[in-house]
Amino acid sequence: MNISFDNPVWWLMAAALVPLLVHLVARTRPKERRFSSVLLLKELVRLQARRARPKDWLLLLLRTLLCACVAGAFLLPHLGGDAEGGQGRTLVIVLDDTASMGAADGQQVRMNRALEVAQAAVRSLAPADRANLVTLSGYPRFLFDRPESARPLLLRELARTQSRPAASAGVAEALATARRQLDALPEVAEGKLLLISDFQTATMQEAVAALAESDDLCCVNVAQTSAVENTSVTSMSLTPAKPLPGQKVTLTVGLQHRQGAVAREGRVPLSVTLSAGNLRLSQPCELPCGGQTQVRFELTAPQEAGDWCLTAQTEADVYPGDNTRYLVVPVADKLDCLVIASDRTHVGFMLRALENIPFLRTLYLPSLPETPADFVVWHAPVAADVPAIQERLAAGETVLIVPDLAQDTALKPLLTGKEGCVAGELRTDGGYWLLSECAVDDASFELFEQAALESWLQAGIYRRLGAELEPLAGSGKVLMRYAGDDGAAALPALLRWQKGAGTLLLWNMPVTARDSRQGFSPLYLPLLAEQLNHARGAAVQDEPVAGQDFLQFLLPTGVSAGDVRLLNEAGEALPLAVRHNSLRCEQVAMPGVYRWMAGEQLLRTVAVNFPSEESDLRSFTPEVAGEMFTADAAVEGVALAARVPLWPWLLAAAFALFVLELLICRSPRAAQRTTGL
Amino acid sequence: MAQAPTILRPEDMSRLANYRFAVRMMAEGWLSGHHRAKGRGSSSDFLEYRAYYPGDDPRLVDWRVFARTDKLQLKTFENETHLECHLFVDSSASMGYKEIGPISKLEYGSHFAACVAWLVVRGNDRVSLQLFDDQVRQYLPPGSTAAHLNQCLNLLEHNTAGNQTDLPQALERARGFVQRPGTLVIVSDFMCDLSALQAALNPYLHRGCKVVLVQVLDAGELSLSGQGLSRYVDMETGERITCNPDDMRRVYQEAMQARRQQLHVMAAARGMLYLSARTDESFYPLFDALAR
Repeated sequence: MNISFDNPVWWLMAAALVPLLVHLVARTRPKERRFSSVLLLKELVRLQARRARPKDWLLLLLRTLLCACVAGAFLLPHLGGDAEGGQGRTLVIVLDDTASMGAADGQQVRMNRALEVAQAAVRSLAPADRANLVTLSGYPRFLFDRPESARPLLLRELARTQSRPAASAGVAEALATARRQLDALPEVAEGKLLLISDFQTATMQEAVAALAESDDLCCVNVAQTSAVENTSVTSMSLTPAKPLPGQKVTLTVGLQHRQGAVAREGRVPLSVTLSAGNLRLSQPCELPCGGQTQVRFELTAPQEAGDWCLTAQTEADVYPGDNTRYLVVPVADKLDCLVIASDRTHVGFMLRALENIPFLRTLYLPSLPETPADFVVWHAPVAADVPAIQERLAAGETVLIVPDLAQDTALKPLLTGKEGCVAGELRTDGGYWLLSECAVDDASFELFEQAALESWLQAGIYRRLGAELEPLAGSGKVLMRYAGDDGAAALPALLRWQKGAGTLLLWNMPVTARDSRQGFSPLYLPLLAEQLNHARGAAVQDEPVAGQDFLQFLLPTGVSAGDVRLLNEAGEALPLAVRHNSLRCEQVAMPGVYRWMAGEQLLRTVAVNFPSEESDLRSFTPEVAGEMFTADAAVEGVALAARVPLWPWLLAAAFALFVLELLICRSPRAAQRTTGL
Repeated sequence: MAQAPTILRPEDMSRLANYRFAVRMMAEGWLSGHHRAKGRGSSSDFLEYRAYYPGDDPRLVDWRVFARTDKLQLKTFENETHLECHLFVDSSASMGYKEIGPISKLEYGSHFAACVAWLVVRGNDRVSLQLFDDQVRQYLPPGSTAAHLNQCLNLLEHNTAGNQTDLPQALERARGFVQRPGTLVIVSDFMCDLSALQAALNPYLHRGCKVVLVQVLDAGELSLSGQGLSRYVDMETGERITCNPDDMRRVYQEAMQARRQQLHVMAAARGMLYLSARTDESFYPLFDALAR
């Protein structure tokens, strides 16, 4: 067994010489006194010295040992723990501090056990050993650029570490980097990788291969059970995503139940509470065990434009982090509508109608700008425009395509991904086409009665896309059809597809007076407005990822960066950094609602939600992970020799020496033997 | 005109006026005096009757007894003779020690010796004086005149502490000066080997001398004065010894007491008178002991 010192300040051992120095330096010069005869005194001193000298030497020895013990205790000696002798080892601790580590398996939180294991591993290191700490929440964070001999710093960092409500985006990357750090060691040095995690399936799936390959990896599974029963709010969506003031909207709250280690049947009774400003609604539901469900709330958007914060919450369970979810919805009094056409006249009465819809802010442009919009009305797009359309759809915008009724080249690439064109038809025989039916059950026709729509359906149309359109309809919903003539199939006149977060509308009807008389119908404007209004999806804007992203805010003109504050739910201001014309929070975003304020004016509200993947608390089982680890074996597998701290014993020895010295100093003197000359 | 010695103070003489120097012994003098002596003398105190032998003084024949008994009987009387007092005053360097007392041991002893000399001369007895250290420094033969007393006092007054003490050797050398038995008053601190002292006193005792040992000590010697680490320098040898008197005091006091006790026992065993005096105390009580 070797003795190692954590605090190698060897000069402290010079303290052992203090009693000797005191004896030498602090010796007082004796006062000289004339005396009649020292004959008797000499004899007494000789006898006294015979008795006192061993005692003095003993006292000096005791005091020297006492000082040496105290000084030695400051060196923090440990017995053992350095099996490699002088060659220091390296330990890289990969500590999972994602949200799932906050779950409690029975009485103990996973993170607490993980910290205990990590601290034990750090304490078992010898002074010559080096170590590094990697935390996984959000993205891998390395405490040092390379392993360092800084045990106190590591222990302090571990004491500060706690489970963060964030997922991990780089377990494999963290392991790879840690591996590189170990590989950079000299060949003679021993390196070890210690992965402490609950081995949550969702997080660690990507790292299984890396785990299996590592021979110097020691895995410690702190999950006591393979799964923890958990209920979570997984999603919130509002339809429409960007409501108008006072508009009726539907909020859909997604709930999920995950089975524990022991699966059970039946349903879990829950109540979902919705907070929307001053409004609080609660709705009971039954969640199937191991299943999902949705709860819908019918709401009315606020009468004033601005950010509308919605919070859905269920009863807290053993893993409460995912029982709350936030949604911030912009309530706008005007929606942006871009009309893209090579010439205004090509969009004829449709443009006129769009410009007159009250809730639209219509802007005609010959080409697509980069600015986002709620609606894009695109006249005669071509195949080259398809990526731009897809991009708009992916951004959750509603794109209404008015095809080139002579020959369209965009639809086929857009709908099927293949190049091709759809030929148009032109009625030149003096007749015209009529619309035959509408999907009256669709919400977009809710305002209209069947009788009222007759006038619209009877309007004559001279130009449309032909029969090649029919097979392209696919999953789209046909909202209007042409009346079939001569037994031919009825072609769709208005189609709607849900494309991801966005909505695609195909307006297979002319928009100029030359080819249609629909423009004269009083129903044209409301029908177009309703179609656009109901085509808006439940898309939500991107929100920051908890534990990974930093909250940012683009400064609007006229607002000084110094005036802007970022407040959390508790109203506390968070530190900000100015970057060009934007502000960035210096702290990683954590779940909650944040408000960007300029003085008392609310600029923007941002919600950061709990990462839904962290709600899955299933861990690798030994069967899944093979022989990679078991919980108990892993702890033993750290293979770091136990270190026995010696400094408490040294302090105890110092105290014992002190008591012994007191006893010797204060012991009653033996009866002095009188002497005669 | 020589100045009168001041070592004998008027207050001492006044205080000791009622004292008479006497020791419980038979004096062996050759002058008629106040002290009982061995043998028959011409005093008025009857001693005994004894048979006449030729050669006896016929004046001593008690003719009344002859008339009654027809035998020649001599009526003898006690002999009264003078007393010789031999003063030995230790004048070694150690006697110059003065720590707590107002005067040194030598001064104290000299005062005491002066008073004794005065008492002796006042009683028409003879007094001799020897000042010694390791040898006899001054010797004044016995005398009983005022001039002799004046000489004694002068010697004592101008006496100074000298070399190392060697009391046994001094007694050895002074033996020749003591021609007939008398009283030896030895004033010293007796910082010497007691067995050697006893050996040196034996001849005097065998000759029938009465020995009075007067030990003069300073209170500082009895209690080991001083505080903290001290280096004690021997006043006679210059020898140095370093010790902490606080640690040594108790042991020293016990040792000193034991030494005085030892001297006392030795004196008592040999029929000597042992007197102990401290320089911070009056020496008058010593005369009470001497007069007993």
